[in-house]
Formats: sequence, C-alpha cells, structure tokens
Amino acid sequence: MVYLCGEKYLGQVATQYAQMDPDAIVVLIKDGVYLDTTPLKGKKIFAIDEDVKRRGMGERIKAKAEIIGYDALVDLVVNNKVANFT
Amino acid sequence: MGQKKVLINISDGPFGNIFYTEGLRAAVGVSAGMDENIPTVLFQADGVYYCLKDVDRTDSMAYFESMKGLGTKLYAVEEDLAARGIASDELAPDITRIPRQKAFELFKENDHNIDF
Amino acid sequence: MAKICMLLTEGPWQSENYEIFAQFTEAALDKGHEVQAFWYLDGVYNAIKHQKFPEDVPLPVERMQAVIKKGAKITACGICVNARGLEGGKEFTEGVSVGGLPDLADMLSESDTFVAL
Repeated sequence: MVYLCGEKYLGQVATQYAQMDPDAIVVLIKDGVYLDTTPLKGKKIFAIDEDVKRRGMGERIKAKAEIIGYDALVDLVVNNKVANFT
Repeated sequence: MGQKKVLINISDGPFGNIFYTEGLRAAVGVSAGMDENIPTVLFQADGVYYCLKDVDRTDSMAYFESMKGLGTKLYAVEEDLAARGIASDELAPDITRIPRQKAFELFKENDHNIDF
Repeated sequence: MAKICMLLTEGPWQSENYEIFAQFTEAALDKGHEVQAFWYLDGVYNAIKHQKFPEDVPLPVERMQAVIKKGAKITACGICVNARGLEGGKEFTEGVSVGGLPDLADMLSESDTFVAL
C-alpha cells in the first residue's frame, strides 16, 4: 500500500501501519515532509518535490526520501491501494 | 461499478472539529449508492476518545442508529486505547477493541479508506 | 487508464489542500486518467466563483476552473453547501454540481483508487 502522509500527527499513525507492511511505500506530502522517518528505516520513502522545496527541507530530507513530482505520485496512486493519512 | 468495502478512519477526538461526526455521516452515506457499499468504522489515535461510554453522542445518534441497522462494525485500536489509559469498562458497548495488526488487515481488506 | 476518486474536505485560503488537489488532478488528467471528486465540509468553498484578493495571485477558484476544463468531474455536498449559507451553490463556478453522499458512494463504487485531502 501507498501510505500518503500529509501531516506529522497522522504520519505517525501511518508509520505504525507501514511498519507492519512488507510492501509499504510511504509518500510524504504537505506537512508530512516533517515526519520523523526513523522508525521507517528500510521502507521505500518518497517526498513531493514542491512540498519539500517550499519548506526548505531539501537538505534535511534527501538522505531519507526520494524526491518525486506529482506525475510520479499519480503513478503510485493508480498502481497501489492508497492508505490516506492526509 | 461494483460494491466496494470502505473503511472510515476517525483519528481526531470529539468535539474540537467536526470530523468525528461527519466521518460517521460519511460512513452511512457511502452505503447509500447504487451498489450499497459496505462501510466499516475504525477509531484510532485520538479518535478513540469518541468510544468512551460517557461521551455525548447526541449529534451523531442518527448515524449510530443507521449503522446499527446496516450492521456496520465499529472498531477501536487497542494500542491507542491503552496509550490513553482507556480501559475496556470505559468503552461504549457497540465498540469492539482490536489490535493494530487487525486494523492493518482492515486497511488491506477494504477497497478504499477515508480518513477523518 | 484508471478512474480516480478524490475527496476534498478543506476550503481555500486557509489550507493548502486546494492547491495539492489541483496539482494532483492536473497531473492525473494529463496522464489520461479520469478524476471524479466529491467536495465535502469546507471543501465546498472551493467552488465559489466571486473570489477576490488584493494582490495579484492565482485565485484558488481559477486553479479549480482549469482542472474542470481539463475534465475533472466535481460534485459538492448539498448539505454542506446549504449549511454554509451557499444557497444551493448559486454562486458556484461552472462545472461543479451539487449532490449528496450517495454521489460519493457511486464514485467510490466506480473508482479504481481513492485519495482523500
């Protein structure tokens, strides 16, 4: 499943499910880019380019998430079930 | 087209915002289409506060009644209850406690999930 | 091509969700997917056409008009519309219809995937 994390509080809830999911794909969108991803080590993590850049988070996030645009997000959403935590 | 299973997740407690009750209105609503989708409600994180037996359900009573008629299951995540010190005897009788692992299964089993 | 259902529960000017909605919808339509959306709660404010702002910035409703023009199908919750004094959506931009939760139910039945904002 794609865990769409749109804020810190809900992102923390999503993290607990994603940890149980061997196929978890985590997407950080909006304030989700502030999420502490330490508990998600080993999971595939993406972050939305524009949301990262606007928040000046590029340097902080580049080691833990792959930066993608909306185009790639659409592909993820149509190819996987979405778990909404926005 | 086709009947879908829809998980409604409520993650905020009452009454600071309207999501606790609008989520339940949506749970009833998603069953009202041509294909009579099957809703399930999951209270998680601070949403579990709405499962307290003494909580005022006045503004959601119609939805609880409708869900009872539909046979909608209402679940609360055990770990989230425990983290907030909520004991079984404090819960409303129509709420079923489930471990997070079972809640995760609900995400997988349902075709769609909506967060409130 | 996939059928995508979206839910938008926040209005413009206070939350960035309208912008995320517009960008995601535009990207999905450009890839040839179908997008149907249900605007619920304050999400119905996104449809009001008479938006004004003192500075020269793109208005949220203009972003929405662009995705409607591209093919997004949008229904606003009628109870939410009238609860907010929007009188059946008489000031709504073209392309937003006023319906009810049974419309969301049908969108969910028809869709391959669902995104909530």
